[in-house]
Amino acid sequence: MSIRDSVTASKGSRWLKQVKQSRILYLLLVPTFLMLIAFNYWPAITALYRSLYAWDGAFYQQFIGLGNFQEMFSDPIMITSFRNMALLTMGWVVIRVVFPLLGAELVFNLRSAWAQYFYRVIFVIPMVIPQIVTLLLWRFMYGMYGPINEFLRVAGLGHLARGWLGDFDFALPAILFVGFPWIDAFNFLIFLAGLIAIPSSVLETALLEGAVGLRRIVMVDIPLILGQIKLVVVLTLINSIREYQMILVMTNGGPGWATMVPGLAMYQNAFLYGRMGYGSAIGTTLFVILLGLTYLNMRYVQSEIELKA
Amino acid sequence: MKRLTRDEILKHTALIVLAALTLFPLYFLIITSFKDYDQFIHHFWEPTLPLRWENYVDAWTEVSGYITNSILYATVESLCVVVLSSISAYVFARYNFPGREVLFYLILGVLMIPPVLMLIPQFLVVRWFGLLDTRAGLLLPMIAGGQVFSIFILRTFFAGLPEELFEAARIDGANHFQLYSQIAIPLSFPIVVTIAMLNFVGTWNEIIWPLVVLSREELKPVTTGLLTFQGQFTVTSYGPMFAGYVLASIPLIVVFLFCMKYYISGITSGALKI
Amino acid sequence: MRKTSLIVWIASLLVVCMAAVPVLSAPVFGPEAEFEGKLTIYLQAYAPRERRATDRWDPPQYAWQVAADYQKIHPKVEIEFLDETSTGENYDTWLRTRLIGRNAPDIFWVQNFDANQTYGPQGLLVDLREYLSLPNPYAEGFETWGDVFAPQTWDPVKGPNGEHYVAVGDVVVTPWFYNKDILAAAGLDPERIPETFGEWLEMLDKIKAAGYTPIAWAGAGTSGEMYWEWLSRTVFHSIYRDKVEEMDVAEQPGFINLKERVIALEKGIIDVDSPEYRAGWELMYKLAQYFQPSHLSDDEEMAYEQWVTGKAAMFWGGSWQLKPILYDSLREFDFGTFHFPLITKECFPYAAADKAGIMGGPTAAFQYAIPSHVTGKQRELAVDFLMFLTAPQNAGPFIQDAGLFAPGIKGVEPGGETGTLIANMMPNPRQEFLELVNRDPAAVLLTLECRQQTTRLFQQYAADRLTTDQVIQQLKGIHSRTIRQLLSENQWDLSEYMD
Repeated sequence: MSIRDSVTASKGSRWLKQVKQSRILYLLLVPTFLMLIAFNYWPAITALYRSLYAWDGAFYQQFIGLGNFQEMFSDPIMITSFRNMALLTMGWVVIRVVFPLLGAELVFNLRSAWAQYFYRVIFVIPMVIPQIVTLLLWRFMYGMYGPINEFLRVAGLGHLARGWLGDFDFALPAILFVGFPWIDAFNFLIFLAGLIAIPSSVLETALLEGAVGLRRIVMVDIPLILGQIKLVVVLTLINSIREYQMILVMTNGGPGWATMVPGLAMYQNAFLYGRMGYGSAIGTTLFVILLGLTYLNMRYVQSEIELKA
Repeated sequence: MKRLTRDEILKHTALIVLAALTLFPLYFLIITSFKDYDQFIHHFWEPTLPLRWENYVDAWTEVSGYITNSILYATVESLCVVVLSSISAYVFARYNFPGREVLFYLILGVLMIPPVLMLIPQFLVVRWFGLLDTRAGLLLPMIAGGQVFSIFILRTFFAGLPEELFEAARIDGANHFQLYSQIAIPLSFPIVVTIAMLNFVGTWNEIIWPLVVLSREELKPVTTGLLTFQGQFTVTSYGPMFAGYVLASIPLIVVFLFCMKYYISGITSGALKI
Repeated sequence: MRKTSLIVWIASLLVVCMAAVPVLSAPVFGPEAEFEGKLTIYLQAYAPRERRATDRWDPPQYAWQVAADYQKIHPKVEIEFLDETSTGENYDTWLRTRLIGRNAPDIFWVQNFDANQTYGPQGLLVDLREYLSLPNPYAEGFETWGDVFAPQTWDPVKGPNGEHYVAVGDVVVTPWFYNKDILAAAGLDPERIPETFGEWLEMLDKIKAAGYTPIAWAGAGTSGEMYWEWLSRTVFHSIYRDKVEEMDVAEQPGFINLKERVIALEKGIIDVDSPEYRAGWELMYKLAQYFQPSHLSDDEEMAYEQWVTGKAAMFWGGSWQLKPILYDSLREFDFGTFHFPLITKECFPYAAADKAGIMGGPTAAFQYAIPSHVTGKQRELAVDFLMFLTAPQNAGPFIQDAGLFAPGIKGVEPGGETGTLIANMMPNPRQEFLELVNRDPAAVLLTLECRQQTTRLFQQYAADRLTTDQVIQQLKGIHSRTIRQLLSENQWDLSEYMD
């Protein structure tokens, strides 16, 4: 009856038979894959193979093998961009996991159901704010007459006041800091859903064994929602590495190349400079990096769980 | 007992601080939507009087014609994504079959492709299908892309459900569909709701894709109407623009209030209490 | 039998011929031509719209009048103007996708240098040359359609091989706006504008000494690129003005096009490592000392704000800002305008121009192209409408009603609300438009990529992160890479120019 059992029982030897047995499962996946083939794989392949061409995004096209990649890796600007991307990604992966998790734990541990509903709504509502509003707000925040500088002036530290986004040393940290306290509604809801799914018996046992507060969070909650954490880490990785719109609006990669990232370089080459082939090469590189990181994350973290179990 | 109360106060304080900071952009959005240019420059951070209701008059003129389109697109997209992705995610999470890993990574791979690069090829595909300037041409690629993310998330939740529940149901004679609809979905209800909301908002806020695919006025969503307040050679009118954002977010907030209410209903009524 | 059939045959041939004569001789363009169908047009800043409750001045609306007049002549033509909605950072994405998808409007706005450098060579736009040499039936007193365009909207907008993708009808002028109150407070005569660069520096020093920010500069993001372009072109114009004839070796006599700039670099007429080139950078550095300290984080909007709220004395703007300035409730002072003054030998040993170069030219909103996927009768309709729009009797009120730019059509003078102010900004005999002689003297802006990279160099240079030597070193790299790219993309053979 159970497909799972029959499959685990016979390894490899009756492969065809298994495929036949799983017919219905493949059938269920057909709609998903039909959509993907039409609107994702097909366009993606046409986009990525162009990285082997000098292609202007229209009609001029010449096969140049790995020429684009060669140019990319010999360009010192691209190296700076990848470094910036790595720094931002590391920062974002940490803060966008820790803060939403903190928020979720606080809400989860409230006793009143009404208060839980209230805070859930509160943390979710900012989802309606278009990104452009948040970015405008932060640009003023960092501006010469923004609250950060006003605060410094009041505190007698006026000489430290500066246009933060135009400062070569502070522009990148300033980008990282945008969105403080980083309680992204989506990550928050994922963690909360994970916590809610923890069987109450487990929590009761933990209480009996004296695991309360931070101790319980570290010893009980985090191991049990490791799947969710892994998920949020992967999604944040993907978003961080692909990020360019925010940087485009905030600094356009400047001053100098202080906040330049490959995603922005890709956009500029593809849509502004008419160098679609080179843009595709950057995109392909990002694709490979992401695939590698995700694979590592999934493999590594999964095996940890299995070891514990 | 006393200690617990102090804990509770501490938690509330922390939450209030976090909530205030998180809601600050919303405060900024609302106060700015009532300002004229003068008030915006001179009183950037604080609310001002008189309230410039004319911002809302202008915003309503630009936005009103498109709101039904946006509601339609966001609803259809999120429903389709939830149905498609929950079925696929369920298959990947609860069954073992040849090629499972490969197929899953094939899906996951789509998430890694930079969307900017996909824009032109996707547009050409939609044109090839003859779907330019149609609702289907707008929605099909969005659904195709939206489900990837959702499959990835739902699979994690479905995989985390205890096998004993499914085993017990199978012994009771439940078929695949019953296992999916009566165990997997109710037990993962919070995340299903989250996925639906996320797709709803995502479709609602999409700018580039509708701009490129749709040229018929009567098909356009709210976001394209809001763009009129940003001009190349004109000073951006933040007041009316932000008033437009406020108006456009009201349907979203209604959806959120509703979703957050049912967020945990599946769990409490479900069979999780083992 | 045979005879009759022959007669019938001849007769029928005659009938056919007679019927065909009016068809063949029917004019392709003009009031007599037959058109039907729908035109979709994106006019950028000229896109007409109703006045809103929050508008501080009248939006442009004359395009509706042009459409109505056109429809009186061609009643079967329907005209739709797109709203100015897809501008900003979305515009390039939108346009490129629509062009490649063969789904762009019949007439749309595009910067002529983008058209000449990317969209045109990629085969996405109609080369209007063959139509520009035909008569324009709507414009009286001109031999060809091309004749209606003023010199500043004619030569500079052509492509490297003489292509003409964009019909350009207006000119942007970018003077410096100054606050008269601040000048008075600094002990200067508020009515006296600087004639030479040296005088200007003295003024800036006094303003600085009086405790004001002399110049509000937009150095951040995409505004930074625009401001950098203005500054570098003005400064290097002064240095290389006397080399213009020497550089003018290839097509388009009287205008230095992209190919000629590459030749000038390859031949060493422009030498990045020369003392004059370095001095150019050092001059720009000197000027940057008068910018507000946060100039690298301020965009155009923020720089304008600092000026209009009285924090800074001057800012570099453009004719499109006149209405915003006139109607700005925050402005509590009178303003005046002047142009970047002549750089003279007294204060700069490499100065080589006897006229001050004025930033401005055909880079405004009246720049309309037709996509190559619009063909046959529809293309003729689009061309016909452009002929109609560029005829002086239509282009005049069209440009004046918007009040954003100076006209670039012969026989049209600045007019309307901002007319006098715009007329005052036009170059006097001691000034000349940079566009006319030398678009990019120092070849800092060979391509958009080059323009952006040099902007970033200037940002680092102005913030003391790079020395002049380092700037020159990096520039060499940028130039050689760009030239290699241009040579291979355009398949240029420069050997005939190298001796």
